[in-house]
Amino acid sequence: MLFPTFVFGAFFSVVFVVNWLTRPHPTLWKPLMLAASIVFYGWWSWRFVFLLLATVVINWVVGHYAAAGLRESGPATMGSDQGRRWWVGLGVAANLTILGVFKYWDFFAVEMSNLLESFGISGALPVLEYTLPVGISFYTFQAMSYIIDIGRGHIREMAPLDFAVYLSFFPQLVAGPIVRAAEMAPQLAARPDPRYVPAAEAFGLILNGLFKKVVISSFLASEIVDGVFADPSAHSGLEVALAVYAYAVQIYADFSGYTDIAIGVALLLGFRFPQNFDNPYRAITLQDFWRRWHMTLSRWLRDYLYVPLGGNRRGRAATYRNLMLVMLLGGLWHGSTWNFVIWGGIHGVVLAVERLLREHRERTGMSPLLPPGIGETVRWLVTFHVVCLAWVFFRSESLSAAMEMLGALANFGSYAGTATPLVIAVTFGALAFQFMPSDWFEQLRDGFAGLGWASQGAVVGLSLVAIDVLGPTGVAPFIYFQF
Amino acid sequence: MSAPSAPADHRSGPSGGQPRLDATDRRRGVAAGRVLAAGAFGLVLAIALNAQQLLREASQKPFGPERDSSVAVWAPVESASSAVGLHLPRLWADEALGRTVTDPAGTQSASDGATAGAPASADPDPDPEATGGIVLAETGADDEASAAPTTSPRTATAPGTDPEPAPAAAPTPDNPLRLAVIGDSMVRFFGDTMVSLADQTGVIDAKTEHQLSSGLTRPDFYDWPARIVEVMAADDPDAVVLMYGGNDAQALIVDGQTARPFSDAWVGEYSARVGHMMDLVTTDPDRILIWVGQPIMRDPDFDRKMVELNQIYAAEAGARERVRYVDTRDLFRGSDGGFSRYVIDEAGQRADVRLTDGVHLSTIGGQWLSQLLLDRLGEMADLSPSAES
Repeated sequence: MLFPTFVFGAFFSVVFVVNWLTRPHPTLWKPLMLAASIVFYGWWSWRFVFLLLATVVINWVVGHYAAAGLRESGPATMGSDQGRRWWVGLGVAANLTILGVFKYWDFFAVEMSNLLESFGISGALPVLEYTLPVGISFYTFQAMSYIIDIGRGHIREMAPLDFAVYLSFFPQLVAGPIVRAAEMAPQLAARPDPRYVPAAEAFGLILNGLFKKVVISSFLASEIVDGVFADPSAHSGLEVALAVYAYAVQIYADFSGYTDIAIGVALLLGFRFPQNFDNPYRAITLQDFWRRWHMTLSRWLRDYLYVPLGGNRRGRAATYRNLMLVMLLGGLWHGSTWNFVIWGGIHGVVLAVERLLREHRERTGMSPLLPPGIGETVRWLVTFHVVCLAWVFFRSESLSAAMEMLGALANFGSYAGTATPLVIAVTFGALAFQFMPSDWFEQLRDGFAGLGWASQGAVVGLSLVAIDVLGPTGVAPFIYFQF
Repeated sequence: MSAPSAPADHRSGPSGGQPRLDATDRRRGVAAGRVLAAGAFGLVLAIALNAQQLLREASQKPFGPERDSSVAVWAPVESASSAVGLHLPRLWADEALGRTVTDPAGTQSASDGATAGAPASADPDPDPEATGGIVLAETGADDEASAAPTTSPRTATAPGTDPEPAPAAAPTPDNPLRLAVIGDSMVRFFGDTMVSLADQTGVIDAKTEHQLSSGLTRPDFYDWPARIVEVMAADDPDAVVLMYGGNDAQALIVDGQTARPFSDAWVGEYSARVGHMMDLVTTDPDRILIWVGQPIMRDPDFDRKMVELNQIYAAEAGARERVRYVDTRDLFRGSDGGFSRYVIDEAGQRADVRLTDGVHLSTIGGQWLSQLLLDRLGEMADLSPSAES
């Protein structure tokens, strides 16, 4: 079920009413919310509901034993800490196996078979060709965070139904944000007052998200990005460069649009999700970028990968290795192609270079070469273009396609007419919008909150129609659904 | 650490800490009943203002019970909305944006014999397993559909005189062979690649055009015969590549009656439509046409339907002198003879030739198909660079 559809509107209207009627009665509310999430997920493919439920069961059982520590039989006889570590390891392995089977095995089998073939060794590894279940990367990462946090003693075990509601909660199920159990468990236990629903913020987020997805993202995809990336050689270098900038805007509008809608929908149900984006194209370093882009993934990678690897506590070489490893695996999280690995690699290398320069500057006490204002502008330009360079690999279907795209930046002539004034205005307007004072949303929200219910409804209705008018017909899937 | 760093705060604003509804939310919050009233009023208003578009989208669904019920729901809403002029703001907005919109007032349920609205909508609930945010063609049309008559697919007429004769001799860079690659969403995934490869020959000037979710069974959604006439008249290509079928295994109307997919009546009508398209292209005696067959598909039921369509394409092409049917099933057959995303290439390496939807072609698959089609084109027309070049 896609958010920007009438079907979802009808579905959510029912869920909203049922939610607030039954929320004071957890024994009723929890199964109903679980059922709603299953309907939402099963709308795509009912078969994968079983995979989701299996993930719930496996992780709850593992979490249960990890929390219990000592048991009378099995690995728990190894002692409390050892048993706990064993169960956590088992849980992480189980989640990685699920992810590996559905997402990574074919990539590994094909690459390995081709490598062996190039050495004259035949006997290809079998490929599974399973359809990738929607949202699998998100909910397996949430499940792993639950298991690991229990193992660390950061959270307590959740009741089975609570855990099922948490892992399958439909607003964030298919494309995040990656909400941790520590953030959801207290909210599941709470009894939000139906007299205080933060509607102004929720409606604002939903409408903003719909606008970003349906209007901005779809417009740029259809007007320039898809065409140029499909055949860069038929376009001038300026068009190719504009298409890369436009893709940077498109993927931000697409992903943050989804996140906005997810957070807004959750707010209407009485839940607050963590923020996932904070004007990422304002970043003046790549480190800054990762504090602003897909924030729930970056803190997941930090807490469950970078820190356990040793972080920056084991010397410079280990720090750079850890940085690189985290970004390469972060790239691979998006998909099983070399392009995603290269995308992560670019980020890893530049993060390492940034760190190297920063350490050098601190060690030598070197003052900045450029005055602050100019220096920041140059750093922003460099950061933005590094991000854009990496997006070329992220968006292209293959390594050769990415190289063709980059090569086409040097095309002179062959203007194909895609760089229309509107495309230019939308692309650079959206980028400029990132530099707007951050209180514009609060001002709009407060203005909306001051209206009567009928006026609020009129604003919502007119906004929905305006978004539908401005957007192209039909709704493309969200880009991050494929991850 | 220097890289992935946690946000300082999980929510906008100064409160920080765990994300959860707090005192600030309490101050700004309103009662759930009021939220429901505002939301419901907003939705009703949006529906009223947008009723024509909702009816239009409902009418463009595949013929069958789902379409009938959707139209039955939206038709009275649209009537009420139009009666009080609530449809006008949307109409004005569309006109201001330069969009051509057909009034769907004549649209009625599929069983009462009215024509459907203007072509506009892509797949309303596209497959999210597709890649890159691309709307994919519908692959599972309703076989048990009841349906309404549609605009006749054979009302389009061929263009008149040939404004510029095609090159009789081998093409040159100055007088290249004009090639048009046209079709449904399958063309979306190889058309640009074929144009690029064709351009590299130096003697082909290629263009491509596609319409998602389109085909030859629903001219009310997209009228390909009419569009082909326009393209032939405007571009006068020397060679044309056509590919349709992925969305065509759905009911159509024959003499006012519903014809179920692959019934005798359906096959007769669909064959006639295919033949008509071929004739529209080859009206010019110097023009050649390549009709591309559907590749092997992952879903066995869908694949069986595509095999039946391929038989129709091959038969119609075989009956015409300047039309060549190109089979693509063998090109994308896996090592076990069935569908596979990964097909062994000439170097013995596994190549990822299909998208995850099990229908469309990847970039590599598009390159393979494009090369095959250019090879076939080379067999039909002299593409060796002329001495003049």
